[in-house]
Amino acid sequence: MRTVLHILFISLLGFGIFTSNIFLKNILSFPFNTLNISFVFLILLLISTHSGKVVWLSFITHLLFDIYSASTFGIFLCAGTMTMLIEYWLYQDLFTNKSVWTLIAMTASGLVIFRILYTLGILFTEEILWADVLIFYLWEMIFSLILAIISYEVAKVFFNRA
Amino acid sequence: MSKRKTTFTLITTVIALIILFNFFGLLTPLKRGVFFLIDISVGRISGVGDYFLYKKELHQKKVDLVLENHQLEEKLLQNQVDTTRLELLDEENKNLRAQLFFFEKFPSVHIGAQVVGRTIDPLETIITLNKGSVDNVYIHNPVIISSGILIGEVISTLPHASMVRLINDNTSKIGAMVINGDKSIGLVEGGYGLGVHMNFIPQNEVVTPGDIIVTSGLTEGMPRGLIIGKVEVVEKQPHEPFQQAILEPLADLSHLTTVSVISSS
Repeated sequence: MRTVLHILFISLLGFGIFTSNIFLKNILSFPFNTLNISFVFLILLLISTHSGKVVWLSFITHLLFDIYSASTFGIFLCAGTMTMLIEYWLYQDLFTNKSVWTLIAMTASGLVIFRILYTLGILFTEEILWADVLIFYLWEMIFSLILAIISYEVAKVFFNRA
Repeated sequence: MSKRKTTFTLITTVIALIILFNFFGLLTPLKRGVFFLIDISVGRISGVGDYFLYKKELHQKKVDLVLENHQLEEKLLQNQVDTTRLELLDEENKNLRAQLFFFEKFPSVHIGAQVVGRTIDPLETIITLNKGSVDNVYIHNPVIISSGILIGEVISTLPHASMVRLINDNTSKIGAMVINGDKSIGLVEGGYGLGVHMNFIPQNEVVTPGDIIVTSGLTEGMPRGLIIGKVEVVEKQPHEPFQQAILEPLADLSHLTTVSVISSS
């Protein structure tokens, strides 16, 4: 029963992350809509909980992205889940602490790995306009890092108070 | 390490299975369910997003409209300026054509001049022209507009400017003649810029409203036949030797722009 509740909770959370991402993409204009809120949230969750369940949360979230996306099925799923798995291992072995630098390093490395895997995935199925794609990735990196730092500082203040 | 391998294998297997299920269409019920949820949640959220976008577009449209309105107002103002300029040029053109036409019939040395100023003294109606003695403008030269309508005479000159006393100035006195059967002679005098009247018309001569008044040629420097105005009212007292006529000048003396000075040289 507990496992079922866990799965349900993770699924709902994944759905929440997914809808938040869609919402922000809808209301923000370029370049602000490049913000990858799902990744920032997953990394923050990984740092704060240090739990492997984040990988399964990433799995659910990216599965929804794949269902919603028009690109080949599995690209988001593979790239997102594998990235989060690598991030989880990196956090276990390399970064280990909960400082803001860890957050920055993990967000940056996570986005880089995710985008490399994603680009490899779409490389054979779609025509890539490299200039546009790289500009998009750059903006995504900048805004996601900014959001990650702000969220970290806000969370720090909030949890310290609590 | 073996745990990681197991985790990696597990995740890879699940992903592979999911992709495989999708390939064979086994995920369709799940997709339907997910799309249903997406329609409910994301559709509404997108609605909120659309609302914000609509508001943003509305604001942008508002800004564009304000900008456009501002540009149109500027254009309108420019058009009004252009129209006014055109009207002034048209009026000046008509005036100059009339003056040209007059001088074709009335050959004389004449100098075209622009009115560049007007006295601010309320008791005087004097204008300043941009031509002076260098341009052969001399004292007592008559100044006309249109087709020979007298507006005044030069009272002083400078090398490049001259002063003209208008016919409605209270010190203006010009010998005039009524175009009637008697060719009555009199003196046209101004009245502090308010009106013009003709005095010293013999009592026994018939002057009627509407008669045209022209210069008589008896005033120094003033040629005969320049139109001054027309009779508006005749004032006649039986006990007085002369009658008086109040005139309506044919020129609008308050709005003068281009004039011609008839030079005595």
